[in-house]
Amino acid sequence: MEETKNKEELLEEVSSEIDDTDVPLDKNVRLMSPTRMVVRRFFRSKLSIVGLIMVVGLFIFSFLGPLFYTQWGEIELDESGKTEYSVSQAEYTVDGVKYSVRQTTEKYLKDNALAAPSSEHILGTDKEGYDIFVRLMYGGRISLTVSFIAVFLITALGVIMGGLAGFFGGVIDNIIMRICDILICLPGIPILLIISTILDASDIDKKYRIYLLMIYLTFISWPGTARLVRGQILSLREQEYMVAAEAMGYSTFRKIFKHLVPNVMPQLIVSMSLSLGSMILYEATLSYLNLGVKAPYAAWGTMINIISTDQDILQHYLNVWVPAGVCIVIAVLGFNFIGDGLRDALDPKARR
Amino acid sequence: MANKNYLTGREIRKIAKENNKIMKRLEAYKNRKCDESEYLTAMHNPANILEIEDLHTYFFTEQGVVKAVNGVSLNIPKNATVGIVGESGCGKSVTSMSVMRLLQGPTGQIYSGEIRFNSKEEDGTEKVYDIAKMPIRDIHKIRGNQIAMIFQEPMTSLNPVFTIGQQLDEVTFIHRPGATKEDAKAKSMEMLNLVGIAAPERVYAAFPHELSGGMRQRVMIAMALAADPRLIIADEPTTALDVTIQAQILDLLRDLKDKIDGSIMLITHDLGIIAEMADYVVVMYAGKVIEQGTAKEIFHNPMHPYTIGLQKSKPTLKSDSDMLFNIPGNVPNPVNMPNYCYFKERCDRCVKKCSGDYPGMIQVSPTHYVACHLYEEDQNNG
Amino acid sequence: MADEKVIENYDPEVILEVRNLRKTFPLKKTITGKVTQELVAVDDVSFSLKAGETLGIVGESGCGKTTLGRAILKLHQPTGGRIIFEGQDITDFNSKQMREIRKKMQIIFQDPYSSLPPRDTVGGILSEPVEVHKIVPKHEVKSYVLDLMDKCGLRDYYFERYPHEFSGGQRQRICIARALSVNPKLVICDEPVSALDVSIQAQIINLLKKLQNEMGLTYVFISHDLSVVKYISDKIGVMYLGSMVEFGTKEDIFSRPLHPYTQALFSAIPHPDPDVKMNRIILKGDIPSPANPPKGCRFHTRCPHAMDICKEEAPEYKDYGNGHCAACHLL
Repeated sequence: MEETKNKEELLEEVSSEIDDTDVPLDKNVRLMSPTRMVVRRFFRSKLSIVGLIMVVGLFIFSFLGPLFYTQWGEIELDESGKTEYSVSQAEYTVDGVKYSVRQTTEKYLKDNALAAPSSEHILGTDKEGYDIFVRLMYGGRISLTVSFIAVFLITALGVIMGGLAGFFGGVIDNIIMRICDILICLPGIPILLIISTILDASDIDKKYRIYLLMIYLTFISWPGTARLVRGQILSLREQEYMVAAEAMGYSTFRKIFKHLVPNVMPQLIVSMSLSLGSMILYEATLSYLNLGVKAPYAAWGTMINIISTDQDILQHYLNVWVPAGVCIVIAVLGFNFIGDGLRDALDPKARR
Repeated sequence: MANKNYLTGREIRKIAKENNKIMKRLEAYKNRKCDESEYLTAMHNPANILEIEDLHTYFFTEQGVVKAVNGVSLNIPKNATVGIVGESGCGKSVTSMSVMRLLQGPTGQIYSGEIRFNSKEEDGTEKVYDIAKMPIRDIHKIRGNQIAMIFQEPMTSLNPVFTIGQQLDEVTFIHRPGATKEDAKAKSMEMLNLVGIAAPERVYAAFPHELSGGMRQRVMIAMALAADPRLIIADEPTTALDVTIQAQILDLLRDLKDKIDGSIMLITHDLGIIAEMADYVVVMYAGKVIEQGTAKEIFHNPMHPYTIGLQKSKPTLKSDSDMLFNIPGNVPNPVNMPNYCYFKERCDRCVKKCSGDYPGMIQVSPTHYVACHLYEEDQNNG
Repeated sequence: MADEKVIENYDPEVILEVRNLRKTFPLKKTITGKVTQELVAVDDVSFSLKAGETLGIVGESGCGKTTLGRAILKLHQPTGGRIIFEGQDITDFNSKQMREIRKKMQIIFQDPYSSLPPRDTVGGILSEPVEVHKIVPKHEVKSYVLDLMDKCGLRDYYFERYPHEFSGGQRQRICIARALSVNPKLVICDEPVSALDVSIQAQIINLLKKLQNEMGLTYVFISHDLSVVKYISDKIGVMYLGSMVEFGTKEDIFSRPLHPYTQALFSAIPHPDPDVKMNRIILKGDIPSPANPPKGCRFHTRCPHAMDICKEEAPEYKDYGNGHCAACHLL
C-alpha cells in the first residue's frame, strides 16, 4: 500500500518538473495566411497566370504604349503620299494595221493608305492611311476603359439593388426582382440600334457616344449582378454569425456594410472579372455594327468593321483587321482565365 | 508579414514539391494493372476477418503531410463487433476509409502498411487480399459485397432521384449477376423487413425525402446488408439522429448482430454506444492506437490517461459532482508531430520518460494493450 | 417609457418570465398574404427564472427549443404571449428599444463554425460589440478584450488570428467571449456543446459554470442531451413538439420524472458501462412533423401508456407540487 503511494508521489514530483516551455502541439502546426492561401491557389493554375500576363500585357500596350511610340497619333494621317501607277493597254486596227497602245497613268495619292508593314508603319496603314499599330493602342484604351466603367457601374447598381432586395425582403424584394425580370426581357441589340439612331440625329460628340451606349448597357445588365448579390445575401443572412450580429444589437447599416458586403466580395470579384470579358465583346460588337466608336476614332471593333464592306481588304490586307481581332480574343480570354482562377482561389469549398 | 504562425512562400513551395513527387508515385501505384497473385496474402490469425497492420494513411496538404493514420494495427475477429472510439481528427474515420479504399485522391493516400481481408469467393473458398496493395480497378471484388458501409449522414447518402426500391434492387443486381427483377425485389423486401420497417411496401416505393432520418438510416442499413457482407463498417451511424431514434437504431443493430453472419466495425465518439455495442474496443488519439482491449477491460480497467480522462469527462446521469472532470488543451492537428507521446501536454500523469520516444504498445493482459510509459516498469517487473 | 404596461404579479427576484409564449411560422399563404397553414413551433410555454439560476431546456429536433430561445431574445417576433425581462414587458419593443436590451441578453450558438464571421480577426470580433455599445472608453477596449479573452481561456496571441485557424472548442470559447463582452445578465446557450468532442464538452461546460459564478449570469441552456443539462441546470424543462411537457427543479426531474416522454429520454441515453444492461424504454415510430401534430396529447402516437383519452383531449399542464409541472393524463 505504502509503496504505491510513494510511487504516486514520485510521479507527481516528476510531472511538476516538466514545464510547458517547449512548443505546445497546437502551435506546432503553422498555417497559411488567408491572403497567401488565395494567392497560392490562384497561381497554382497555369491558365490564370497566362490570363494575368495577357491582361497586364494589353494594359501596358494600350496605356503606356502611346507614351513611348509617338511616331504617329491616333487620328494622324500619313500624308507622305505615294504615287500609284496603272498601265492600260489598247489595240486598234486601222486599215488592217494593228496598233498597240500602252498608256501609263500616274496617280498621286495624298494619303499613304494600305501600306504594307514596314519600319515606318509596324503593322502598315489602313484604308484611310492611319497607322494600324498606333490605332490598336488607342483602340485598346477605349475598349478597356469603357468596359471597366461599365462593369463598375453594373456592379455598383447590382450591389445596391441586390443588397436592398436581399436584406429587407418582402415588398422591396418583390419590386426590385420584378424590375429585374422586365429588364432581362428587353431585347438588347434592337434597342441599341434605336438609341444609336437617336444619337446620330442629335449632336453628340462622336467620342462620347460609346459611353452613352455603355450606360445603356449598364442599365440592362445590372439584374444579373443584383440576382447574384441577392442570392448570396439571402444565404448569408441565415448564417449564425448574422443572427449573432442581430443579437448583438448592431445597426442595420453596420450589419449590411461591415458583415454582409465583405462576404459577398469574393463572388463579386469573380463575376466582375468574367463580365469584363463580355463587356469587351459587347463594345467590339457595337463598334463592328458601326454603332459604337465612329471614325476617325479607333476601337478594336471599328477596326474590324472594314471587312464587312471591303472584300479586297478581307482577302489581301490581313494586317488591317487581324491584329484587332487578336487583341479582342486576348482580352476576353485573359479576363475569363483570371475569373476562373479567382473563382477557384476564393471559393472556400474548393479547399484541396 | 513576419507572423510566425504562417508559412513562408518558400516553405510552401518546398512542401508542394515534395508532396507532388510522392503523390504521383502513390497514384501510379494505385492505378497500376497487376495480377491477382501480387496482392494475395495469408491471415496471421485465421480467426480474424480483418487484420490491419502498421497502416499509415497520409494526406498531402499544402500545410504539410497530415499523418491522419500513423501506424495503426488492429484485428477484427469473425462475428465480433469492434468499436473504434476517439475524438474528431483522431483518424478513426480515415482508417475505415482506407479499408474501403474511399480516400479522396490524390491528396489522401495509403502510404504503407497492410490491410488483410479474408474474403469469401462465390464458390465458397476463402481468399485473403491485401487491400492496401490492391489496384483500385480490382477493388470491386470486395467493396460493397464483402465489406459494406453505413454512413453518418442518412440525409445525403441516399440518391434523391431514385426510389428506395430502385436503390435497394441495384445492390442485388450488381452483386448477384443474373438476378431477375423479382429476385431483387424479394431480396429488398426481405432486407426492409429485417431492419424493422413496419410497412416495407410503402417504403419500397417511396423517395428518400419522404422518409424521416431514422427511417433512412434503417434503409441504409438494409442496403449495406443486401449483399450479405462479411464486414460492416458503421461510421457514426447514429450521430445525426435524435436520442430516442438513436435508441431504436442501436437496438436494431444489436439484434442484427446475432442474425447476420458477419463482423461490425463500429466507429463513434460516444463511449456509451461503444459500451453497449462492442466486444472489443480500440481507442485512438492523433492517428495512433493508444489502447485496445475487450470492452470490459477498457471500461472497468482503463489504463491510458486519455482513456481514463475521456471516461471521466463524459457527463452521465448517475454520477454526481459539481464540476466535470476535463482534459485540458485541444486535440492536436497531426502535422509535424514530434517523437514523443502526443498526449503529453494534456496528460496529468506525465513522467520524465514522456519527453523521450513515442511509447510502444505494452501488453497488460492477453487482450489488453496500452501505449503509455507509465506501464513499462510493470511489464519489466512482471 | 410612459406607455409601459403595468405587469401583474411581478416578483423582483425573477429576471425572465415567459407567459404563454407562442410562435408560429406561416407555411402556406394565399396570394393576398392570408396564412392558410402554419407551423406551431412553440405553443403556450410559460416559465419564470430567477437571477443567477440556470434553466435547462431539453428536447429532440423539431421540439421548438431553438425557436423558444430565439423568441426570448426576440430574434423571432413571438406570435402570442408575453416576455418579461427585468420587470419590463419587452414583447412589443421596437428594434431601437431592443438594441438597448440586447446588451443584457446574449446568445451562444450550437455551431462554432458558422457563428463567427470568417473575415475578421478574433480581436476584431470581440472589440466590435464593446465599441458599438461603448462598454469602456475607446483607449481601454484592447485591454478589456484581452482581459475577457484570458477569462475565457484564450491566449493573448490569438488576438490577431482568424477564426478558421482554431478548433471547435476554441471557437466556442471565442463565441462565449463575444457574448460576454457586453456584460449581459442573461445568456441563452443554444446547444453550445453538442458540436464538440467529449473532452472539449467538459471544458466548455466548466467554463460556463465558472463564468456564471464570477459574473452572476443567468443561463437558459438548450440541449438535446439530458446528461449535459444535468451538470449545469437548476431547473429543467422538457419539450416535445412545441409544448412543455414537464418542468421542475433538477432534483425533482431526475428523481421523479412524471411524464412518460421524460422517462423515455432518460432511458435512451447509452451508459458507458458494458455491464449495465438498462431496462430501456424504446419509443416506437418517429417524431411527428410539427407542421401536422397529432390531435389530443401530442405524444400519444409514441407513448407506451397511451389511453383512449389521449387521442381526443390534450392533457392539462398542472403543478404537481413544489413547482413540478407536467402535462399527462396518467397523473
